[in-house]
Amino acid sequence: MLYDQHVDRVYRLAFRLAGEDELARDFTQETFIRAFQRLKDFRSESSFGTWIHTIATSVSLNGLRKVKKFRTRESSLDDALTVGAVTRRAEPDLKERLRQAIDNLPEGYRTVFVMHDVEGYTHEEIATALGVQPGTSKAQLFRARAKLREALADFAGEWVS
Amino acid sequence: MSDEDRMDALLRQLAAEEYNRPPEIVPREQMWEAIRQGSGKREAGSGETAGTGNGEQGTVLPFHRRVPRWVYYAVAAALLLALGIQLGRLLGPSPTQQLAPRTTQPDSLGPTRVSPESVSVGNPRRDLATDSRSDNGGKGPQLIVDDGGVVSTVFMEVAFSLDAEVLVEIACDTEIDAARDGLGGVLPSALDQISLGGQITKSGEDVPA
Repeated sequence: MLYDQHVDRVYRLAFRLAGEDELARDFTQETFIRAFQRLKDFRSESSFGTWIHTIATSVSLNGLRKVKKFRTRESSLDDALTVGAVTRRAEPDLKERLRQAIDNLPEGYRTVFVMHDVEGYTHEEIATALGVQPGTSKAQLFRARAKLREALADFAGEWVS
Repeated sequence: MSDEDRMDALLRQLAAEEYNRPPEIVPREQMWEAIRQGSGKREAGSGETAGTGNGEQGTVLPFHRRVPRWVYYAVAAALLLALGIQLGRLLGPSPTQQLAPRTTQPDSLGPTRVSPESVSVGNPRRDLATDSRSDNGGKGPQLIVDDGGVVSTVFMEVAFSLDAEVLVEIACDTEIDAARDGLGGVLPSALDQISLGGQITKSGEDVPA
C-alpha cells in the first residue's frame, strides 16, 4: 500500500521541519489527502515517492509559514502583556545553540540542510521537491553550513581538537 | 580533512541526533483514520458525491461548476460596459450643455427673434421648471431665468418631452418675463435650436395668437 510505504519518511520530514508532533501529523495527513485527490494527475515520469515528497515539502513549508505568522502575532501580544517583567534565561548549551542556529537559517537554507544533512535526501530529490536545480540545492547547503559554522564559532575549538 | 569539514561532520551528526528528532514510533493508524475522515469531509464539502457506480447516486456539482466560465466573463463585461455608459452620462457634457453657449451670442439670433407683441401671455406649466414663490406680485408661477444657459437647457429638455404647440406657448410666456428682466435675447436662440430638430419651423411665425 502506498501509504504504508511512504508515511514514515513523510512524517519524519514533516517533524524535522515543524518540530512538533501535532504539526507533523497535520502536515502528513494533508500531504496524503492531497496526494489521493490528485492521484489521477500523477504521471509516472518520477517515482511516487518523489512526487509525494514534493507535496509534503510544499504542505509543510506553507503550513509553517502560516503557523509562524500566527505565533508572531501571539508572541507580540504576550510581549506587550509582560512589559517590565524580569526574565532570567539559562545560558544555552551546545544543543540549544545548534537548534537556534538552524531555526534562524533562512527558510531555503534550513530546508535544504534538514533534508540533506539531517534526513539524508539527495540533491536531486531535494531539487525535485523544491522545484529548483540540483546546483541551487548544493549552493544553499554550502551557505547553510557556513552560517552554522559562523553561528557556532565559539564551540569550534572544542570540536576540532 | 580540514577543520571546516570536521566541523561540518560534527554539526551534521549533532543535528541528526538532536534537531527536532521525531519519535521512534510513527502514529500510522491515527493518521490514516484522520486521512480517511479528511478525504470524506472534503468530498462532501466540495459538493461532489462519489457515486456507487450503479446509477443509484448521481453526481451533484456546485453551482459555480455548472455555469460555464465564459458566462461570468460575459456578464462581467456587460456590467462594466453599463457602468461605463452610466458614468459617461453623469460626468461627461450633455448635448444641451454643449449647445448652450450659442444662446449667449446675440449676433447669432438673426431674424428669428420673437417679439413680445406677437405672443399670447399665459401661465407656464407648473410641472416644468417654475418658481412658485409669491415674490412676483401675485402673477403666479414663473420660469426661473437666471441666465441664458439655464433657459436654453430648460427648453431643450422641454423640446424632447412636449409637442411643439405647448412648447411655443411656454416659450413665449417665458420670453416676456425674460425680456422684462433684461434677458430677452435668450429665448429665440433656444427656439432656433429646437426648430432644428423639426419640432417647430419658425419660432417667430408659428407662434399661436
